[in-house]
Amino acid sequence: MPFLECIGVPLLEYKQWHTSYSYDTSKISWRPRRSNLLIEQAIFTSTETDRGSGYQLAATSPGIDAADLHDLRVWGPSHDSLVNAGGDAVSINFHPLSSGAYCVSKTTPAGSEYSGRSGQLIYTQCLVVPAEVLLRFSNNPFALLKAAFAQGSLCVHEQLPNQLAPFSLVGKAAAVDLSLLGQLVTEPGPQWLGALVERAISSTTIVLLAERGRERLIAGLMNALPVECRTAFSFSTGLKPSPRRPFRVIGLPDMAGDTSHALRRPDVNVFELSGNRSTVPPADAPPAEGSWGSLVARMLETSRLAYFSAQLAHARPGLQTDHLAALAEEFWARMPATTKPVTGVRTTKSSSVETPTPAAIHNSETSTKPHDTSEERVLDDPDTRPQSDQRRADAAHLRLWRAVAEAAAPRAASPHGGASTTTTADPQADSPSQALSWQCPQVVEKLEQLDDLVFEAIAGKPSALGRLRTLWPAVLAEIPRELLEESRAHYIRHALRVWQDCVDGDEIRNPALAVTAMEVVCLLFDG
Amino acid sequence: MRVPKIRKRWAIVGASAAILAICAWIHLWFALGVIVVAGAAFVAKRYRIELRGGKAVAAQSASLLQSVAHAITPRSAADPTDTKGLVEEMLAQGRYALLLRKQVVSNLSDEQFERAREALSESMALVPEGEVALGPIDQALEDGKLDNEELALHEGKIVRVSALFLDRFPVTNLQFKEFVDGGGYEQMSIWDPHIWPAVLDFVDQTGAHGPRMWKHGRCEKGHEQHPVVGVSWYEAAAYARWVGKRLPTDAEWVKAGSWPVPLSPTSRMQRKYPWGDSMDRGRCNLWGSGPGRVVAVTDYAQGVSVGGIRQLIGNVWEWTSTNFGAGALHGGDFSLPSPMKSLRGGAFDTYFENQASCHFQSGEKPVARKHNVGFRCAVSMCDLVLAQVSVTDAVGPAAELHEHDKQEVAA
Amino acid sequence: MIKEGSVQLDSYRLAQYSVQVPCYICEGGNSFDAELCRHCFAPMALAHQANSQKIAPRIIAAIGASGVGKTVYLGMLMDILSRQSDRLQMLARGAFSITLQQITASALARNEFPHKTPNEPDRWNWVHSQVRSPAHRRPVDLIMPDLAGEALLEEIDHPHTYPVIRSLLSKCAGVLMLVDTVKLQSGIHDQDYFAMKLLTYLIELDNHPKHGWSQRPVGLVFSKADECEECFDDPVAYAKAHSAGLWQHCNEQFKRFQFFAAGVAGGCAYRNLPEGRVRVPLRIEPRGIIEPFEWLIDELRE
Repeated sequence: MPFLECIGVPLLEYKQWHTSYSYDTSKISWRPRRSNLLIEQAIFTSTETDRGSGYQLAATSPGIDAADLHDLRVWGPSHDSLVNAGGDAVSINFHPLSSGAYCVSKTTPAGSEYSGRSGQLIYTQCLVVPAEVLLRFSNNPFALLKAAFAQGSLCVHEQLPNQLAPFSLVGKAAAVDLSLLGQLVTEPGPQWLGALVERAISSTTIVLLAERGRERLIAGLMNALPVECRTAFSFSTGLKPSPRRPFRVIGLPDMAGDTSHALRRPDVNVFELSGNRSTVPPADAPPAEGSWGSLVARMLETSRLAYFSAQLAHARPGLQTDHLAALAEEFWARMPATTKPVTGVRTTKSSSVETPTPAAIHNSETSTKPHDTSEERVLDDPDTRPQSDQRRADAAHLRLWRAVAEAAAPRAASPHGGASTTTTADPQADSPSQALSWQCPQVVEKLEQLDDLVFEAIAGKPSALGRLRTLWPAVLAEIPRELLEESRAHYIRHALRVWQDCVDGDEIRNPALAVTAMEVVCLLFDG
Repeated sequence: MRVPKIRKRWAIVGASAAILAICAWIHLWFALGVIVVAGAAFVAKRYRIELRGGKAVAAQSASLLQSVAHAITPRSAADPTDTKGLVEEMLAQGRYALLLRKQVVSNLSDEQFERAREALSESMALVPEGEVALGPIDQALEDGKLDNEELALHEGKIVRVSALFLDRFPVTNLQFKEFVDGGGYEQMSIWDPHIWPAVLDFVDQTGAHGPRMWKHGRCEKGHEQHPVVGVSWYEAAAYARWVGKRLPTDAEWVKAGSWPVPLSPTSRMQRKYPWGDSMDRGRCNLWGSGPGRVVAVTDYAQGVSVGGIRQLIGNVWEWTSTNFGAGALHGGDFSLPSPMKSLRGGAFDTYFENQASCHFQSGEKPVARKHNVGFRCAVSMCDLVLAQVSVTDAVGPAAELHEHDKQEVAA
Repeated sequence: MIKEGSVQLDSYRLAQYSVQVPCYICEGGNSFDAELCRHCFAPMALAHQANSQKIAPRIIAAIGASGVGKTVYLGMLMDILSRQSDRLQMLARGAFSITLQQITASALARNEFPHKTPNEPDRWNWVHSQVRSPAHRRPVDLIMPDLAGEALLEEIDHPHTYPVIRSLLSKCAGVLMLVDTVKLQSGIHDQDYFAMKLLTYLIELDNHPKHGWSQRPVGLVFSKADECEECFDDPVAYAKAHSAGLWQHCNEQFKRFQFFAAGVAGGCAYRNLPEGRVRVPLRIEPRGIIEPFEWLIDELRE
């Protein structure tokens, strides 16, 4: 080991250096390679520059692609783009860019036009976010913006700088903001939110009409979707619609105004949230039974936010909106039927939602306390699950992954590969490892068993840790490593999150849980 | 032999007469001048004794006449002591207002006084004293009625106006030519001191002194009766001083056009236009209702105001003496690139009717010489003598000079 | 036996959907009921109206930098021509063609300038009108958009940012280019450079020696000339004195061009309103509005 350290460390450093620098033949020098972890910036506003006057990209950071710059110019909002005329108007916007990065921007009024014409000056701060960074924030632009604001990276410049500097953004975000969903349970209510989610999924473009709280509603929509699907939902919370800005979700106060023509298209769906929101939505609004929207509504109604959050925390690469119905079915099937749903939702002063978890009910030894960042996997003990439920869950899971596999057929196999109806191994495979592919139901079963066990162990169940110690080497031996890598990474991430939650602050809140999480990490690393 | 005394006396008389005759024959004018000066001295001495504390006034009267005499230059070929000639000259130049000043009227004969008064009556109309509402109040006027509450809502204000005379017509090219030919551009005393360096720039298209549109010191042929345009505010003010008048204030101008009539202590009738409350494009030269250019001041007679003043609306904008944007005449604060003077009345190219009403105020830089901006003059009633009285009364002690006249008299 | 009857075909509506309607500006295909072209966002009403006429309307444009007065000029022009009939008369085709005139006239009557034109092409005002002249028997059909100056600049500097501009200017029969006299007078030559950039862009769009931009009429209008009387006296002399580069450029590149002076506001000032310092007109007295347009129409007839 010391020998390896002597060789490995310099090799690692060289590798890191090489990935950081590239050789510029034109300048015959090494220059820093654009880091995938840096967030580039741009400002789109009206100003006078040497090049010209009016709305333009007034300042940019140097690392933005030419194609992305073009996109920013096209999407950039100009004069009179905000739906609200007040000085406190703001719009949060999110859309993809040509390079694969995403633009998260904030549009605000910033005083009067330099040219002396009436109307507010519109100022848009754009963050060009690499996909990897956005994923760290669970593909939640609101969470990313919040972190950027907290870091001081978002501000309106009195004097526009000649050039902006890219910055790195620390932090991460949970898959689901439980406190936000908890607020939305109260207003507008589970059924409304479920209907909104379902309508958004089934529409090319959806216009959300709400006088107030559009930002919160759209944030709730994003939180109610699986992480992998969120990037498909570009949105704007307060810009006037325009064909140049084809947002998928558009928040407006009403349909009046000079931009109503943009909404009179056959592919635009209008969802109006008004009136007495505590009542059940109209007949044409409630989400269809078995759909993702109805699942969301049910989860909110029955206060299973923690379970929902834990489920969404699972990585599901390749998941698309078309698969959400199948995923919903899987969730339904996994949901414990015997567990009595806890009615009523209490909110604490910190606006977190307290949801007593079935794990806490079943296992009083764990002192898991409800808080808004926990991702407790709320699953009942599979040993006590009725057989019919088990078979139903397996069937739903198989159907889901079949759909995912079909959609991702040209791509590399995922560790939780979709199942096919065939039960035999690939007839052309020669080696046992090839015989055991993602198409094999035994693999799926093993992985499911591993899932359950790992999460139980992390949740603090003593017997689960012991059984995991036995199962893990067996799984390693039977299943190819590449099928396991992503799962392992996810398990480790979850364990680290739990550990961090336990030790945050001045005191360790739950030492037993923290130790257990660490033990799981060590076990997974050993493999 | 002794010469008899009687013969000696007759000889002396005869010699004196001969000398006088010779002197008179050689220096006729000199003799006349001596007589005039002697007579003036006698009168001055007499009035110095009889005036109660008014020494300076009488002295000023004489010097005023002299300064007036000085002002009559090249054309008059003058004898500055020819009062009658001076008066005739001034009447021909339209400077009757100067003649009717308290300080000068005493020098007029009854016939001259009557002629000056007739000229005043013919050229100017009386605007009686009273209150007038100012501000963007057109929308507040319902059937011409305006009460104080509505006035306050529209940021208007009430201004009291003293009685005055206002020109019935805008100043014409012909009238302005008198000023140009009379050397008005060279008399620095009638110009604001801070504008003296710029007076050299007030030239026409050929470089001669005169309005911007003129050539060689004269207007286009056939435009003599057109309002003079292409003059700055300073030129307008100088002309007004030269003729013994001044520019009207905004309140005076509006009062002349809208002719307010009080209904009660808190309400009044006030017209949007001189002829009434509705725009009638046949009564004024605006965009679309005229030939698209300035017309003679005698045209559009139907647009006359109640007081007999013509073309207050349309044809040319008119300078007033008020600063633009002063006070709360308009909603919101104006941020002016440079001080501006008020314009009233609209012009032949004014596009919107609501910008050609009595209450609409525009503004322009005082040095601007625009193609559609002219002016008319005013004189306060208290500055004139309108009835022939004794010299003593004419120069009574209660004479309070108007500010403009004080400067003129001092010059 | 032959039977006759009439059967209503519902499928004709489906057939309409299958036939693409080309946009009049960019010629991109759109469904028959599209309100805006999905490629360039120009109103499809132009295509429908043009298809219903025997003579295709010609396109002209008022171009210039941001804030030079394109909206005010076009709106005022339409309002003036709609009120008079002795020289030229303009009749709007389609209700959408009145919008620009309405917005401009309403704002100016309130002693305000109209709002800044947004960059988004779907928010531009388009005018389709027929221009009649007593001297000519046949009227001229025209399409004129009110463009945003920033969009012009962006398209020149970064092509394909606003595809509608490229398509429009390629098809224009002539242009009126507005230049801000106030800025020229104060010695700021950005207007000069922008105008030259724009003219060069036009030449590059179509440099055919017979029907390219060098042969099309270009009217150069000194806007806001009410603040500079000498500009009205002799626009050509003014151009030579204050924008020599532009004048030289036109001489070398264009066969048919003319300088004009125009103004709408008699004087301007700034007003301090809650939203900030706003420039307002003190009175409206249009001058030189019709002459450039008249010249352009005459040139187009030739």
